[in-house]
Amino acid sequence: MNTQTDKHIEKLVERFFDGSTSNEEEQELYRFFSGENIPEQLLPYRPVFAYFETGIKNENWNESKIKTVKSTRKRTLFWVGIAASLLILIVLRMFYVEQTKAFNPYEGSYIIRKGVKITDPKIVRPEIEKTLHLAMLMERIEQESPYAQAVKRIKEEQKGWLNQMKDETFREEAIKIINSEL
Amino acid sequence: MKKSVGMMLLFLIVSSLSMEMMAQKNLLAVVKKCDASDSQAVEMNIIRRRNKEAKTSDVLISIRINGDKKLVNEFLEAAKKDEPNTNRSISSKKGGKTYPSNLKFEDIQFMFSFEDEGNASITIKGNVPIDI
Repeated sequence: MNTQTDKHIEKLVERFFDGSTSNEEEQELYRFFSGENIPEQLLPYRPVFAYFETGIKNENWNESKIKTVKSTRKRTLFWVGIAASLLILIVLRMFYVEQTKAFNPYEGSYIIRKGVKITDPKIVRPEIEKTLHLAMLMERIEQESPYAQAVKRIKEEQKGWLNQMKDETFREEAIKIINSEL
Repeated sequence: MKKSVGMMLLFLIVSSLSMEMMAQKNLLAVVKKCDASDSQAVEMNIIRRRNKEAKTSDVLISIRINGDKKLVNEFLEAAKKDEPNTNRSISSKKGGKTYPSNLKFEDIQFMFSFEDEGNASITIKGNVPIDI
């Protein structure tokens, strides 16, 4: 065994563990410990340098594998994000269309002429207006009819009498009864 | 016990609803007849009104009868039969005869205008139980 070589190797090992070896020096250590003639005092270090040589290689390989996995995942997330954004846009659009959809309060209306049922909106629309006008007339007649006038007068007289009562609760209840009965 | 109380409540609700519908059954029968009629003497407008916010609706029906004395008499007879069930009724006189002009039930109101024999206008407003 070359004692000088052994001492050189020992120094390199020390410096290796101090983290102060260069790449060439590390390569020298790997070559030495991968050989056959390793002195007895340096044998315990063999598995360490065997690990470092193969382990680092493996780590590099794992790193590249991880990098590949990470970039694939990023790409997937990117496309998932695009799909989710599109879906949200579509839903918002549908919601907007539904909200702005014209509401037809007279949907389902029709007229009958000479036994024929007509639902064409162009024909039905003027008739809707006529019928609404009749309904308004109906309400007006109801409000201004002698009966309605008489009821109105009776209510006012009764309320006038009730306003003289001091008990507010009783007065309010009595007014409710008058309004509901007539 | 609970079951019998529930049944009783259900019976009361159904019967009250039925009674409301029965109140104007004669008039509604004639209206339905007009809806199904192919007579040239009848013009009918059936308008459904819906309120978007309240999600309620009511129905307006206007019927114009031109020269069908029989149908006008049917309406008159029906009005006389249903009049006792009204919450309020108003009549008017014409040519010495009394005609109903406004009949108000719980959910439905009828307004009549009887002209010469065979001609009349009827307007109906409210919760009309006609399949439209």
